[in-house]
Order: sequence, then C-alpha cells, then structure tokens
Amino acid sequence: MCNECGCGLPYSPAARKQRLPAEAPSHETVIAVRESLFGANEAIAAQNRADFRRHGVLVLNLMSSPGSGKTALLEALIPRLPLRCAVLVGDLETDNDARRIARTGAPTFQITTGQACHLDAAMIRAALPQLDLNTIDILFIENVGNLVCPASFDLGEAKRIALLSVCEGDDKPAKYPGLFHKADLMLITKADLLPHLPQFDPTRSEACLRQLASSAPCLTLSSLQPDSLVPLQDWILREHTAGRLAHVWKPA
Amino acid sequence: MHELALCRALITSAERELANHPGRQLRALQVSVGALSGCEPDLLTHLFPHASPDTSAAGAKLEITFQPARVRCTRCGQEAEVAPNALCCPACGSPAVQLIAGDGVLLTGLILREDAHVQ
Ligand SMILES: Nc1nc2c(ncn2[C@@H]2O[C@H](COP(=O)(O)OP(=O)(O)OP(=O)(O)O)[C@@H](O)[C@H]2O)c(=O)[nH]1
Ligand SMILES: [Mg+2]
Ligand SMILES: [Zn+2]
Ligand SMILES: [Zn+2]
Repeated sequence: MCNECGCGLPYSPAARKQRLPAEAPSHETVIAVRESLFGANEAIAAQNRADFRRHGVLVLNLMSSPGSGKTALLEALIPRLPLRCAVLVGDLETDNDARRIARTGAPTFQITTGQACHLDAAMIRAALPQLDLNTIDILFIENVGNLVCPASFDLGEAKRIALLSVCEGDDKPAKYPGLFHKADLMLITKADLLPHLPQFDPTRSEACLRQLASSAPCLTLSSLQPDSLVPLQDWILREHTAGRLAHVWKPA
Repeated sequence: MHELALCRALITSAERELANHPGRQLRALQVSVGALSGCEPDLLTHLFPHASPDTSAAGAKLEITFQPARVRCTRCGQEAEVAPNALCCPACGSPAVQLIAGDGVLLTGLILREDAHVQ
C-alpha cells in the first residue's frame, strides 16, 4: 500500500479519499483531503468494466498520436478476426473514421467529442445502449488521436494498446511516458515504410518502453501487409480466451 | 489539454467538501500534480479563474505542488524518486516496481476562512 499518496496504485478506491488531521491557524482553517480528480471517471469505468466482463466482451482501447494508423489497422484487422467485433470511435469533428470502419461490417458507432481531447468513461457508458453486448466478442475503442490525455481516463477496457508509427520519432515512449507506461501492448505501425525511414529504429522504441518498467509485448506491423498482422491476431485471440476463463473461474 | 475540465473537477470536489463547513469561505485549493499525469500546472493556474466564477471557488487561489514520480521496488525494496521516463528501480535495475506517486492529479487540501457575511 502507498502511504504517500494512496492514488498511485490502480483500482484502490478505498485508499483514494482519506482524511488527514487538519491544522488550524487563527483565522484560517486548513482542511486536508486527498481526492483524485479522476475518481469520478474511475467509478464509471468500473461499471463499464463489470458490464463488459459479465458479457465476456474483450475491450481494447487504442491510443496514439493523430494519424498513427488506428483506423487503418481496424479496417485491416477486423475482417481477419474469427470473432464478432464492434467498434466505438472517438473523433473530434467528423464521422470519416466510423464510415471507413463500418465498411468491414462490424457495428461501428461514432462518439463525437467536440472539443474534448480524449474519451472518458461516461462517453462510453452513454454509447453502450447502442451495442448488444450479447452478440459481441471484442469491442475496439479508437480513442482520440492524442498521446497525453487518453492516458488519464480509464474507459473500463481490459487492455490498452498504444500505437506508434514509424513516421514518428522512435523515442515517443520516452517523451510520453504517461501513456506508454500503462500500455499492455505497443504496436509499431506502418512498418512498410521502414525502408524509407532508416532513422527509425524499432529496437530503440522498445528500449524506451522497457525503461518505463513495462513488460508489454511490442509488435511491428503494417496495415498494408496482412501477414504482419498475424502476431496481433494471435495476441487478441489469447486475450479473449484468457478473459473468458477468468470470468468463468472468478466471476466479477 | 483537459486542464479546464480538471479545474471544474477540482471545484466540484472542493464544493462537496465545503458543504461540511458552513459559514466558511474558500481561500485556496491545494493541488498535487503528478509528473506522469500529463497535466500542465501553469495551464491549470491560468485556467482556474475562468472556471470559478459563479462557484464557491470564485476568487480562490490554486496552490500547486509538483509530485515527482516515485517507485517502490518489489525485488529489493528500495523506494526512490525517478524520472518519469526511467521508471525501473534505480538501485537494482528491476522493472518490478510499483508506481507509488506521481501518477495523478489530487486535491490535497482546502484553505478556508470565516465568511464575512456570517461574521
Ligand atoms: N504506408 C502506410 N500508411 C498507413 C498505414 N496505416 C495508416 N496509414 C495511412 O496513414 C494515414 C492515417 O491513418 P489513420 O488510420 O487514419 O490514422 P488514425 O490513427 O486513425 O488517425 P486519427 O484518427 O486522425 O488519429 C492514412 O493516410 C492512412 O492511409 C500503414 O500501415 N502503412
Ligand atoms: Mg482514426
Ligand atoms: Zn484531454
Ligand atoms: Zn530494486
């Protein structure tokens, strides 16, 4: 347990708010509180997570900077998965991504975030009535392209996937540790472009990730090269099976 | 990036706490901003006055403390402050660490004074 803050440990709502003895100067009172500003979001995320677990739906939260290839990956991946997929897409303004993904045949719903730079658990909760969780095995959530904010907002997902395209710097995990250290899987995308970008070294990206005390697997792939998607498909199938077994043996 | 939303969340939390202290006015909110939180303390300070009019936090100040990342090693037991992009144990190099601070944005305290109207 954390004595210093009580918040550094994930999913410990009991420790989050804890009153400390207050000091009282003459005309002023100092009230000590300890309340996470993300507490309200985490409470809703926990409800989402319970719903997803109960239905055996594996929820994957895809996060990256704008244009790293989240939508293209879903377009290429979904037709290759022998599972029933659905997609929630967060987008600032347009429904372009939702329309692209819907062509795969997977039920796809757009969450227009307007000015918001990230999805939060309440937005997911509000979108849930559109989904029939009984007919879904995997729910992909394409977060808003942003490497800062999405990291702070638990959506109730089972796993977080961080994408990094070879057009970006290979040291992104070191520059945006808040997002990458929480990722359960890192994908280096647009690998078909690697021959044109000799300065991008995937091993350096992985080294930066290891510096974040992460043991998350790191896969290099291209949405234009179907064979390169196989290790990701295997990872998803394993996670889906593991999630179902966990639910059977340890009901939420 | 979502600092304005954070300001509003701060005010909501503060108002909830303030309800337990009738007749007091909010002078300052004490906030801890973690190194890994993605939150910009300067932006928070800048935006707070824009979020607070018409609330009980109107005119109140933010007192922000920066919280560096801290890890506890589950292998050697060492507890240490670390750079946000070097989270392994500085003593033994192990990645088996718990992040014990620096992850969040916390409301840590409220400074209240007697409300002039009530006196
Ligand atoms: N060469 C190549 N181009 C790709 C690949 N994946 C995506 N792209 C291109 O990169 C651009 C952005 O891809 P998107 O899939 O829209 O990226 P995104 O992460 O969904 O972007 P936002 O939703 O705006 O954050 C598009 O022009 C894609 O065609 C890839 O594997 N190889
Ligand atoms: Mg997209
Ligand atoms: Zn944000
Ligand atoms: Zn150690």
